[in-house]
Amino acid sequence: MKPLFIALTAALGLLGVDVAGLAAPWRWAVEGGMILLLFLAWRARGQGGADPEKVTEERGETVAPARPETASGELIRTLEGELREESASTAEEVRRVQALLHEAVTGLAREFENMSCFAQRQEAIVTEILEHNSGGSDGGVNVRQFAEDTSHLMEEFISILTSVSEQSVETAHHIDDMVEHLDGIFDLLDDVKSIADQTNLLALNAAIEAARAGEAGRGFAVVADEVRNLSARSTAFNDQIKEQVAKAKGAITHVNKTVNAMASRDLQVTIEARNRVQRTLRAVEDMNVFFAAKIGEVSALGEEQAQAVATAVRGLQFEDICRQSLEAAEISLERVQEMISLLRDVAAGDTDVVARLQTAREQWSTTRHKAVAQEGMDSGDVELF
Amino acid sequence: MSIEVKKSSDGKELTIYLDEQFDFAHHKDFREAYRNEPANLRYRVNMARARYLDSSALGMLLLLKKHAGGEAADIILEDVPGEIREVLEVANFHKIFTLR
Repeated sequence: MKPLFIALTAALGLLGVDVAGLAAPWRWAVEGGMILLLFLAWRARGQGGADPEKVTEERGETVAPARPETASGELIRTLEGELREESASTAEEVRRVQALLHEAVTGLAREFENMSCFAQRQEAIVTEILEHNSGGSDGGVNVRQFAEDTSHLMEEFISILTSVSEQSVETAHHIDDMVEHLDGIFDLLDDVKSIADQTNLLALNAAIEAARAGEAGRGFAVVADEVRNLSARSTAFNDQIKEQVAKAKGAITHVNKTVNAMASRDLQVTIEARNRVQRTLRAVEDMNVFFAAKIGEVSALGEEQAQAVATAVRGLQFEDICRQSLEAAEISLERVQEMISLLRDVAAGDTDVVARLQTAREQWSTTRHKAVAQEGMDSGDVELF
Repeated sequence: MSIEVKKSSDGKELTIYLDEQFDFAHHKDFREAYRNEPANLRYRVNMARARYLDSSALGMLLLLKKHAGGEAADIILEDVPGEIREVLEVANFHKIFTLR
């Protein structure tokens, strides 16, 4: 029985190797070895005692071949039972892994999509905020427009200030001219006064001469007196005119003060205000540039994120490879179970085993599972089966 | 120190030298400098000594330009100090006058 035992154990060992090495290219060699060993086992089995069928033919009797309760037969049945249990257990685990894998991957894919949606919504909100702040939308606070309007107002104000200044100084010039004219009048009045004074003197002289001429000069004396009266009245008028002109000059000098105030505005405040407005405009420009840059950054990030999600989802395709590997494992397990049955038949003395094994191998070769070339997720696209 | 006036030897150019303060108090003197001169002279306002301008200074300069023929006037503001230039630029005078 020893050769039989050794051969069977060796065959089981090879079987184990075959199942384990699912993707090995040397399966052919392994299975060939297994067949050889099974054949030897079958031959060895016949050596331990007389071949029951041969014995029957020699005897000429129909004797039901007694089922030999050999030690090795029981061992084989035990082994077969264990193998069957283990392979069933393995098959169960394979199925469980398949289910878990599918559930997990489906869940992950769904969550990636959710993440992607959230990210897109975030991006939209940020863009909305930034556009609102830069006054892009209708209802938004348009700081830039405000700064520009203020700047224009400043320009207009300065323009008006300059105009008023020009007109004020021109008014001052006219007033100066008026004062000159009035002073001219004063000079004239002085001349008139001196003429009146001289007239008075002359009239006085005439009166003295008239008195000296006695009775003959009486008429002349009267005329001289009248002339003196006239010159006195003239002087009086002169004084009155002078008074009026002086009042006029006084009033005009008053106006001069007002014009002075109008023309003289300190420009420092205006300059500072204008500079502040310019600075604000520049700050608004900078702010717009900043926002535009940030929107650009957010967009770029959004794209990167979308790509990352796509890569992650692609990564989940490992499920396909795994599933196919697991399906191949299931098929291999089925074949193992077939072989376990064959093993049982060997133990029961079935002479047909080799032939059946050959048939099975031929069947299997037509649906041989192609080893998956891809070792990992990095090596490019997934092979389509 | 007050406003000084110099005429060139060929009589074609008149330079008015301003004082530290160029404000309303000087309006009469400034006017006297050019009042009796013809419009077709080359007018130069030298601001080397100027330290303070108020709005009346703007008015005075504009009236000088008016006297010298308005758009056809030949006026240059010379030796303008930095701070004074800033004041003139606020009023856009760099667009109305030639500043040196």
